[in-house]
Amino acid sequence: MSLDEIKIGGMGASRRRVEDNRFIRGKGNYVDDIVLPGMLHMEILRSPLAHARIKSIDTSKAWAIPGVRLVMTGEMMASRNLAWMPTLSYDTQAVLATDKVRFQGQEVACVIADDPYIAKDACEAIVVDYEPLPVVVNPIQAMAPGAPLIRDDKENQHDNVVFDWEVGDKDGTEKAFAQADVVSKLELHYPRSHPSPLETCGSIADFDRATSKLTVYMTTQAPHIIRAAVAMVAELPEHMIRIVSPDLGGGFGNKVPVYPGYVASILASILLERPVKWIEDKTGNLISTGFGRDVYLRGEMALRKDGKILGVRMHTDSDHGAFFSDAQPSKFKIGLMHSAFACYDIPAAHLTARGMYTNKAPGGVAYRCSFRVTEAMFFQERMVQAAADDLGMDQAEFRRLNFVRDEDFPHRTAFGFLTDSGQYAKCLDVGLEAIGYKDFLKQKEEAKKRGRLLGIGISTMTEPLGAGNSREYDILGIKMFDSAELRVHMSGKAILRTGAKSQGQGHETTWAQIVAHELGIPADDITVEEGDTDTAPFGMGTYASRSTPVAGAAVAMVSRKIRAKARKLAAHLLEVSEEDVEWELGRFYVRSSPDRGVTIQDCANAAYSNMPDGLEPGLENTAYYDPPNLTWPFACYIATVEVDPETGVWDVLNVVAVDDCGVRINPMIVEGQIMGGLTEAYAMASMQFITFDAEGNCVGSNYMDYLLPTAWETPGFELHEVVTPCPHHPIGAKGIGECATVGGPAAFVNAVMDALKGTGVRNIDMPLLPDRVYEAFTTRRDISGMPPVKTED
Amino acid sequence: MLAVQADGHDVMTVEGLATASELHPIQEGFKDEHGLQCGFCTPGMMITAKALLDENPDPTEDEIRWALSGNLCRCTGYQNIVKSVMWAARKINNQAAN
Repeated sequence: MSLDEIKIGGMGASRRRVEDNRFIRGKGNYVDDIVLPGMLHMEILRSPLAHARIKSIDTSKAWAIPGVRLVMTGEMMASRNLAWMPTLSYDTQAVLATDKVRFQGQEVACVIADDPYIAKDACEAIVVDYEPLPVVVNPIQAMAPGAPLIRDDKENQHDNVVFDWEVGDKDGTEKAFAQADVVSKLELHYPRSHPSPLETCGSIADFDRATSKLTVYMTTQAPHIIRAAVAMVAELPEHMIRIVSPDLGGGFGNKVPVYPGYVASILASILLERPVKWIEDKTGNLISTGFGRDVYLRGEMALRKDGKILGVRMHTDSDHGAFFSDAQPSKFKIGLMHSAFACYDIPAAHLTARGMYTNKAPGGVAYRCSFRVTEAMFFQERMVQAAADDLGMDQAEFRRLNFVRDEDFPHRTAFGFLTDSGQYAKCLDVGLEAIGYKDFLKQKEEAKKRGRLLGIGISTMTEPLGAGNSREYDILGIKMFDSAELRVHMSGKAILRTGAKSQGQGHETTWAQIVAHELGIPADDITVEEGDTDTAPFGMGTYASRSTPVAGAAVAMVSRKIRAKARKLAAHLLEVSEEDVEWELGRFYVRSSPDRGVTIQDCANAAYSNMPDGLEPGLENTAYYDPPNLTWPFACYIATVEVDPETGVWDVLNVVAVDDCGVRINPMIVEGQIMGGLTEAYAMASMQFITFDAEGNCVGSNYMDYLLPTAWETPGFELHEVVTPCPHHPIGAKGIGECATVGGPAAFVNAVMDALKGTGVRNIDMPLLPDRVYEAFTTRRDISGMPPVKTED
Repeated sequence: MLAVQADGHDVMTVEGLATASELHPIQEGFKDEHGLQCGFCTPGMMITAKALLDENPDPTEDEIRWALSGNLCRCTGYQNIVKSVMWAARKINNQAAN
């Protein structure tokens, strides 16, 4: 009698996506598609210099251009106490520069005009007199004695240090190193990179004087956080602010922070009492908005001869740019860097982390990762491979020997996280089998005799996804829970809203599948809406792979609340007591007489037309979900490559991915996320980076200079799965959106390093551009730092 | 391409792919093979695929990858886009054969 869950589009169905119906027709509704009556257009004038004092700004020529409505400068913002705004990490950031500019591309002035072309022309008519200052482009320069003070606006800031932070057991780790047979050391750099969603940032601010209501359509992954921030910055009452995040053309962490353009468009709309649209151009996006990564590591591992890891010591120096606007939990200064080595059973570990200001755009957004987890796992897996090589051990066996075993969960990691589930060795075995590990090692030896360089790289990791719990995770004091609201209509059709915000993850499809699983309402009967703070319940948004772990759990919980009420309605309809009613998917029935039953749709109808005495009418509810722990997916990525010794070009031969993200809601969408992530991993390893010259000029400010892989370069991927349900998540799911971006890069780099094994080259920092590989191979030396600026010089 | 280069030519956008009652096989292929996520690159990918299939109704995977290499996608990793185009090619060829 029970419904076929796959047929109604429930859990486990590779249901085709609902949102595709508009996207394939060109009917997506991105912020630039929105046109309001009387709308004006804003353009931003950006600094050409990375560090300079502003001596004067002359806007007279801009004002004189017909069609210009407003020219805004830092001085004008300051007169309204809006020249500076708080960041998500308790720092401040200039909205429009007043005293000096601190990175190339910083916002200096804005023009609002009748059309975007006039606004752009008028920006070029603004004359700014700059006095150049010495420039700092990396943490090493920033730490040097006598380095120019970047943040002279801050009281009590006498150097360029953002934070000095440590975590772990320092004494225990020292003891472990004292007992080590071998100490393996590695220095690495994870280069600065830009998430670069294809859609840039933008906003349309619409202040209505008659109602005092401010509506802002904008590119944000976290509309409720933005509402809180706007209330704080613009000093507007929260109920008079409506943030609408329409369709987003990708996010990847880039659309979490509050950017000056948003704030400027809001002020402009308030002053002009007309809608003001700001759509950032590609260069503006690439040079000024949230970068990711840019961390240097000194790593050491204490090893016993038999391969057991006794302890790990890490020191990171991170480059945060001119303003500390990392989007991450307040408590952890370098994000979840200390989730490194969580899949290994390690007795002691210690991490020291120093963050530095530099004359670069703010960095530290969680670029398709859970707050620095990408760096953590890359460092981990590069160190693991180096350690295996130092011991002369097989890299797969070294991992297996040190894995946390299946029977050891829950497991407290050396840095204090609680991992709760996994089958690490099984995932590794599936991966080794799929890639044909033993055969490849033989092929590699054969090829070597003929002068060909083959390599195999493994990366295994478990990562913490789905912040929070509220005990440890907050942003600006707001706890990292999430929410769902479900309204079941009289006919049994429904609308679901959540505090998350899809940017391509497919929530409109998958959330309905969770409701279908819990209530038996066909997924096609459920509309999903997100992104409007006037209608969606409060939530922290979508980033750090937190949607399914937190908002997805809230969807399951709100469905269960609905089911509990529907049971009362069913008992009433069946004229039995509630205790005598049983549930199967989509239907309640009388325990002693299973043929007598009512469907969930019957109950929905009764909620509006035939409720029992004393029962509140209607069938809707809201759930706020505070997860007991993070979720811990596990992944094993293996890549094989061939390096051309004549050119340094390396070709990917095969890529195998084994992901254990617990129960999969929609396997098709999960696999789509993994393939997208693997592509970004390949991109980071092979080509994708943004560097800066000694003057702080951003090299990579457009798609001619910033290399992103196309369909031509991107290799194919072979996907496998292992399922270990999350023990605390209501439907057993774990995060997945970012696993491959996080774990993938080390597989590619390890593969190239494996191909160069025996040449004396221990490390080439990403990106592994052919010239860097060639130089390493021919000079037999490591290649460190970011091209073309080498920090050791 | 600059607007003047289109002088004297027909211009087809994504809005021209479907008829009032039916989706184009390329649109169906993108949905069926999960060839899109955020949807921002999708119109460009589909129209590029249309140009390819008009010239070459039975392309190989390499030919599809090469044809699409002027367009960027940040979400999908391309593999499903390639499969979407192959799906469309099969459907168009089957329709022609019948």
